[in-house]
Amino acid sequence: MLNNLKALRAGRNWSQQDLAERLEVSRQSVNAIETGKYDPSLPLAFRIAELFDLPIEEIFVSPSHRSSKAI
Amino acid sequence: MTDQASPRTTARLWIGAYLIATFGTAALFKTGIISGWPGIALFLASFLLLFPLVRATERAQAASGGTSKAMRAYNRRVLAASMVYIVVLFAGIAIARYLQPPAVLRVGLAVAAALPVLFIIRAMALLLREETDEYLRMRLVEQSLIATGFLLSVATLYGFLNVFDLAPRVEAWAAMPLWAVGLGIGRLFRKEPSC
Repeated sequence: MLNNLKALRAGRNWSQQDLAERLEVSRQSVNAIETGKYDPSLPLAFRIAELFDLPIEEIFVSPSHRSSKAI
Repeated sequence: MTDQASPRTTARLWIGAYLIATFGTAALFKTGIISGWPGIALFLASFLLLFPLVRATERAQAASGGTSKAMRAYNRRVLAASMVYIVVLFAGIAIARYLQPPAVLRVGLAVAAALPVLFIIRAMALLLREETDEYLRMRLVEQSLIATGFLLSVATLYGFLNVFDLAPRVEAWAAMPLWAVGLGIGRLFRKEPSC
């Protein structure tokens, strides 16, 4: 699933390791989510949204809205 | 130092050294080049390479950002079980060969040799249960399924080769090392960053 995680992370000057530690997941997980190789579970998606203080749909792009919202 | 090997390269080198040492000493023993207890001692000593191998693998996992508390616990469990297995297996073979105990005791020796392997299977189950990182857990499940598919495919094919008298019989315990080979294939197939 496309997402804006990399841009959001870069906006806070966080490395993948920084974000991984804040989410309590591995750096591989962050990389896999950012590159769209892995879609996080709902609980992890909510944790990501809460960390950035944004609604989930502003971080993860619905496949049906891919062309209009993807960064 | 830019010429220092990466953790992944170092881990690969230790895996290669372990395989060469284990299969090499086994071949030397089988062919009679180094016979008797010196050959057995050399073969057993080759398993000590598992210690630096596991350490190097953990460093590679950490460098690739794929390490976890559950994975480290799994490595410790498998390493301990492997050492116990080697000692119990060879002690059991020696007892069976030189003391020729009754069938009841030989059953005990067989169970004792199998127990560490069952402990390794339990360690795998615990890894899946204890891994809190959902992405790493998913990768483990995928690799396990590839390993299981590999084992079932090879066993089915080999079984029919047996049916048509085209291949020698293989001991049933070979299933476990074959599954482990499948796990390695699964890691390569799924492009595990640490291997």
